[in-house]
Amino acid sequence: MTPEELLLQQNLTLREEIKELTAIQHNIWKLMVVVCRRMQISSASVKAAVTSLLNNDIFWDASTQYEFLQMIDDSTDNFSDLAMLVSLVSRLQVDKIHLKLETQVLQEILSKLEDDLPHHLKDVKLDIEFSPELATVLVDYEYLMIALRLLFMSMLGGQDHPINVRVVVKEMVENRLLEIRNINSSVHNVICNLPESLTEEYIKEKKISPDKVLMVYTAYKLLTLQNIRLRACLDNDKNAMLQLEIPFE
Amino acid sequence: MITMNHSTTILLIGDEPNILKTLRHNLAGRGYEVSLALDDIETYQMTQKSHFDLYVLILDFNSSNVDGLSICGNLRELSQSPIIVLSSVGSDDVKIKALDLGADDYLIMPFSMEEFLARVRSALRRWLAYKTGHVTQNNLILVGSLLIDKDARQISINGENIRLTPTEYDIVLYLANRIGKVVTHRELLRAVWGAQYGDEREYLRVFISQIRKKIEFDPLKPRYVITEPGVGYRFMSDSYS
Repeated sequence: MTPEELLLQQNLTLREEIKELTAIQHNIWKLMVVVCRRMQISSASVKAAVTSLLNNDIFWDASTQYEFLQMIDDSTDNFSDLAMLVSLVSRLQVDKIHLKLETQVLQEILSKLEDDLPHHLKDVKLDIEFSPELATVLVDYEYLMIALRLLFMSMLGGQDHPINVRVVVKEMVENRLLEIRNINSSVHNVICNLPESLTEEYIKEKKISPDKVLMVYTAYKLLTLQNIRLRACLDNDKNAMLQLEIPFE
Repeated sequence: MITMNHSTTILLIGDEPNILKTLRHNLAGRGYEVSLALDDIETYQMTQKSHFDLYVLILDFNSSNVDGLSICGNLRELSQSPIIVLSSVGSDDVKIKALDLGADDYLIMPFSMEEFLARVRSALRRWLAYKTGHVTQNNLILVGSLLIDKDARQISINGENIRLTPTEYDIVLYLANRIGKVVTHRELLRAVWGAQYGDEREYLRVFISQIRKKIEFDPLKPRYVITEPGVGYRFMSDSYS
């Protein structure tokens, strides 16, 4: 291949990559529109409940008043989760995520996650199993927490019964392996099919909620920025699981 | 406030639990009989099984395989009862699409409960007037070959009955009662939809276009409902034009 031909080839490859990236950006913005509408719906729930309580022409008994307050509580939580997602995606889009990779103890991060999850997901319990005593990892504490929370919210959001999730940490030669077992297969498929799973067609065909797809994508990006490899695979019993290969140096 | 009997039935359609719960409490607390449909299939099954005086449709479904606009169009095929659409989308094209498909009103989220209840009362007022009719004397209006029978709330052209929705009928009647005069957008909106309306010109665009399709020989060259650009509409007959 002559130098001119090589240059031409590189040019073509670059153009293809730009085209693909533009398509991904376009799909992300479309998902953002859907998430913003969800935020509007959450704020509408709050407003509807508040104005119901403020109405003087009707008397609400104590249990109905409590129900309205619970709706306000739920909807504001939902609103703030979505606002956080929109803010993260926007910052990712403009490269405004500043990471601070430091040695951290994985047990601490998971234990904080265990305390934090009930604020976002009711009736979810983590069953954590460690093989090394103290597994250190080289990560950004805050963004690893956020990425894990987003993964759990996308897998378990909308669940209406109590659920136990098994999390296993193993020490490997080159990294720490964090496995999240028996997960929702639709999230598994979203990860396997990125970036195609960001498209409207995929979301419609697989009947997945667009905000969950955006959560998975955001988690994936936050993990990638920390050199953490996210893989969706099957365990020995063919159940879907996630594997995170986290570097420790 | 209009007087409701206890058999005024409303079907709430949507899959957003918190909004559905709030609307149901408010409507049931005011004496309406409220049912819920969580998707398109349930909506059609319930509509075929029972009669509803009003449909309240939350256009934005969490489930990506349910299309709120299709529900609106199919409901209009199945029933003449008014449809109020609630949506987070405020763009004119979606609003017009919904009205075009048969919605009678469109409320953008977030809204106050008072505003929602006022819209419900307004829609039901028109629907109940349509269902019961007002019997008075001299209740016929003849404009060219178009006859309006106010007792029967029926319009015919050359003796052939024209099927208008309650809102379409109210618009024609209001204009025909003021034959030859210009009726402003605001006046027409307030007269037909209620006092809280006035800026929703897109409603009129959609409804007037539907009316023209039904009563005009050539909807592109209307003979009865004439547009007064930027102002409103005028009802004309040959003798006035």
